[in-house]
Amino acid sequence: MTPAVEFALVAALGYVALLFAVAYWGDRRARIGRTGWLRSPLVYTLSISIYCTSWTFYGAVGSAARSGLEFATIYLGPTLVFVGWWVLLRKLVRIGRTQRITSIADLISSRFGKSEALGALVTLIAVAAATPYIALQLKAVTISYQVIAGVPLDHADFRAGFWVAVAMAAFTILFGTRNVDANERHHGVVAAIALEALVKLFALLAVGAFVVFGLFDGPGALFATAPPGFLQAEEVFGPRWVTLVGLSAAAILCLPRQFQVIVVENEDERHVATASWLFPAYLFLSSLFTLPIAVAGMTLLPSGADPDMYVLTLPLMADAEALALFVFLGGFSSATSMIIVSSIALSTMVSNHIVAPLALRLARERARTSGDVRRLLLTSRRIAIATLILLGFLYFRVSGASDALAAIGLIAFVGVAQFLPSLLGGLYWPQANRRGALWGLTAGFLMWMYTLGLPSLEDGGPLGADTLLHGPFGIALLRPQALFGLDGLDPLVHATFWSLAANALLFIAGSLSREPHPLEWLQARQFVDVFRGGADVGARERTRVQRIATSEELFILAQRILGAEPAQDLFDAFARRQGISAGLPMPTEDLIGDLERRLAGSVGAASARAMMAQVAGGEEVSFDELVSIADETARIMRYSQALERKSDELETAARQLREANAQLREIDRQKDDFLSQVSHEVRTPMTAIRSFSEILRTSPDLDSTQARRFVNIIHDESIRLTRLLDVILDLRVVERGEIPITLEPVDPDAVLDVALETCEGLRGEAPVRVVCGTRAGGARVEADPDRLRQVFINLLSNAVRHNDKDAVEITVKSRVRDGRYEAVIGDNGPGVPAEHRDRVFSIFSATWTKGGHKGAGLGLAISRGIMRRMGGDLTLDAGRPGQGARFRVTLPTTTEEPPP
Amino acid sequence: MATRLLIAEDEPSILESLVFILGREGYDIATARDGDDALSQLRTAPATDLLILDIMLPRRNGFEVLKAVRAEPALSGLPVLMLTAKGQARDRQMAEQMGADAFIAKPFSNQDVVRAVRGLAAP
Amino acid sequence: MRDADDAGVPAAAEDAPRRRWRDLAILVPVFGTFALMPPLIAIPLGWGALGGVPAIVLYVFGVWAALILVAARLAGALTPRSGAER
Repeated sequence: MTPAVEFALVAALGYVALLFAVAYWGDRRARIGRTGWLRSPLVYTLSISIYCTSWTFYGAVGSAARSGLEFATIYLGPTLVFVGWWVLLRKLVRIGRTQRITSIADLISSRFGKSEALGALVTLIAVAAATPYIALQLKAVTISYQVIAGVPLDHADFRAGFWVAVAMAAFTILFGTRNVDANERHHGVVAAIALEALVKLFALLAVGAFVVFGLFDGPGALFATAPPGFLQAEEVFGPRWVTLVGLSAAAILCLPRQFQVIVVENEDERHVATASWLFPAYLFLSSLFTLPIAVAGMTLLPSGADPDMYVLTLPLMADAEALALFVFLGGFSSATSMIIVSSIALSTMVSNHIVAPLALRLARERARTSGDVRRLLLTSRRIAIATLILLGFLYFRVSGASDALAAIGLIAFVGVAQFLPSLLGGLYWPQANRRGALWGLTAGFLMWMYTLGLPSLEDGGPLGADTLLHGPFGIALLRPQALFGLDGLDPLVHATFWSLAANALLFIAGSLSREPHPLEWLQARQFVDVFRGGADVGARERTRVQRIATSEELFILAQRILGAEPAQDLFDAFARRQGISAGLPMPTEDLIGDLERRLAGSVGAASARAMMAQVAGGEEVSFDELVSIADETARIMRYSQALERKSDELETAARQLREANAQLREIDRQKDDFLSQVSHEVRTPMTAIRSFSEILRTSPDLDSTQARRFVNIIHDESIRLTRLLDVILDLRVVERGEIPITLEPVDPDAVLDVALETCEGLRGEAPVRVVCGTRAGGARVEADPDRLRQVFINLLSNAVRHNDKDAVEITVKSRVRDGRYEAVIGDNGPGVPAEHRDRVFSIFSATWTKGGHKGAGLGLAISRGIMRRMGGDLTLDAGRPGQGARFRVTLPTTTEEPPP
Repeated sequence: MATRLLIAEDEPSILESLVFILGREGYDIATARDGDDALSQLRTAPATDLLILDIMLPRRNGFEVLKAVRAEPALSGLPVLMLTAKGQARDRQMAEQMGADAFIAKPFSNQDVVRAVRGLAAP
Repeated sequence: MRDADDAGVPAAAEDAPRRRWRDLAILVPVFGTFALMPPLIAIPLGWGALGGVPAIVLYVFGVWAALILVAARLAGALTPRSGAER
């Protein structure tokens, strides 16, 4: 072993030891509550820089050497996403925090109705995309190690890769699975990642500065040595450029590890604002020297040198061994930090979306004897981490000899970009539903595998070289890299186009093919409207869904998932909130909902809901039933919006009903009054008749004058009774509209005069003076003269009888106006109070015995009925307080002459 | 001195029959055609032994007269016989609460009237 | 942009500058995308070099730096309130 090899090995080991120490220190500080700068926006931004893996660390220069500025696309996409944080990232982070999202799989599953299937599918795609990516990191470490150690690159030395894999697995398991709550920050890991971010940035800056100012005299001199035409190729800015910017923009959101650091581990939304410019600045700095290094490599290094290793070989060539070692550690940093965070993110997804649902299914079949879920989750996460890293290593071991791995970075980008339609649709399109997401993701995944994933393997992997060249079964239209005859495109652009097109199309088609289920709709509201109180929908849902569980059961569940101590703390907090000083809190729906949210932070929304269903629903309530309860709730809520819109109409209807009801009550009261009046009217003559007939019967000694007088009284009272009966019968006739009427042309004024004559007899105690005003004179109307006279008499007699003045004065006028005959009969009596104006015409009016005068009231109702039957009307003029009542009789005029 | 009755009734025929049958029994009878009249007679006339009071009186109805009678110390002990034309439970209940001593429902039998009046004031 | 009209932020007078910043925050990525996509990005290819450095390189990094500076200014203008939104 050469000293350089030894030194590189020692340095790598020492560096790993340093990472462990930093992580340990970070965890310790966090545990004693001194998280200070660990929670700063700077550390948040640095942790996002795991985006820059060893693939970009080494590969960017290689890409620049081959395709000029194209390397920049990988950074420009994320830059655009971050400077546009207000549009998308802010919403994503807010949702992640309010819904306690644990991974991108959880986000998509939770958004589309807490679907277990979607969670598993997203996990599957993520693992499929990430495993080769991890392999790529191991390869980069291995090759860089071989380069710095001077080992020939003919065949890969897998030992370095293996030990790195083992060390990273150990590190991640140790510091990445301390807590089951995925939302809780892994402070140790974050501290180590931040350190690595600085190391790789400074390594790149150092080598860049060394190249530009050490090996050349500044950038001008450097670029002067560039091959002619370099950087001048216009085709760089073609479809591939656009595709790459788009893919990298998608990747910064959809890569599980990026989602982990940006959304899941976010502690303060304000950090996003800082990262919005600081992270692009990081990218800017780390790519500032990429082109100079590439140009320098092309100029100074032999033509056979691997451009991907220029970063390392340039300082080695210049005998700057310390710098080369620093660069090696920078590349090492970018590889390890990616492996650490990737495996944490993926293991969370695997344990929450594959292991937990399976365990729940099994547990249900075994009568709920699932012991410590927390231990199960942590163990499954640890196993998942080890397995994923091991898989990455095996992938590297199998394909390491070929160059196939080099393209893996972008292939993985296309893979995770399949999440984009569901992610964006889920954030902005309420109609998007589970079916659309399932269809879209499945189609995109298959298309990606077929057009890009499998062809990237040596000889097309399981497809075989023949299929790659001529299509399956020789069908040229189905050639994986020229699907449906779309030939001549860059394979990456081709695959991106087909996979995302199929994905988005089916996502939209699936979403439109059916209404969202209520639970999906509910989740959609909480996601899409997160800035408009969408989170409150959850609160309302909780108050409506009634789940029943005992506090003990809930506590046991919490213990099983959160651990004994955190569960105890949580329940103490619940109890305090409910004002209970000791013991368990009440199992309110509020508490159950809150607990479910906490559990979701550990096991994902879908599993948390299912677990809660097992406990809170009791054994007989299945998960499906719970969902159906939520469905019901959501449906009610949807209709309540429609109801709100209708509330005006309802209010109007209610008011009309109230009015109608008041009218009915008034009529009912009038009817009661009427009946009691009638009974009074009947009893009074009856009493006299009975009393006098008893006197006549039991008093034989009565003298004849007296007897005759008594008999006369009985007779008068009998007539009074008969009259009363007539009135009541007339009344029934009016009520039914059955007044017998024979119309003939008459002079109404003549009828009025007859009535006035008749009324001479009315004049009793008080003197009555009739004032005749202007008369119509010679008007002709169609009327029943007898009935019309009856109406006039009724009005005239009322004017006399309802008068409280010592001298009664009646005014009579008539005229013809607008083809109608009008007669007005006024008096100088008390008039009719405004509130009784309608009642005086009512059949049930109680006004007919007012002031001691009998049998007058029904007349107005009957008179109006008569007038209307003759095509006219009887109205009472609007009140003139203290000026008496004024009734108006109207009839349409006619041209027919009255019979002689 | 004969027992003195005051009959307040606005129906002339009923008043006439009451005056006849009770006069025959030997009572000294005064009449009033409305509520105000009845009250003023009670206040000014020599001691009345019984008031026969119709409910449906002009100006001041029977209840109002009864209330005023019970409120005046000089008259509060006066026996009152109510004539209830309606014979309705509500009127009867109300009169009872206000302190009426007996009731006669219209149409009445002469015998019942005589018996009720005798029960309250012997002739 | 659905969430541009942030809930709970009244359109009061003192919010008017903030609203302008918010609109700018939405437009910045749009401008950036235009500037960094064909056909716009291919234009500086014909501009030659400046101080020995190809104009296209200066253009890409210049736009990039401008985006970062505007984003930094935006973050400053929009954060004090975004922390107190709830």
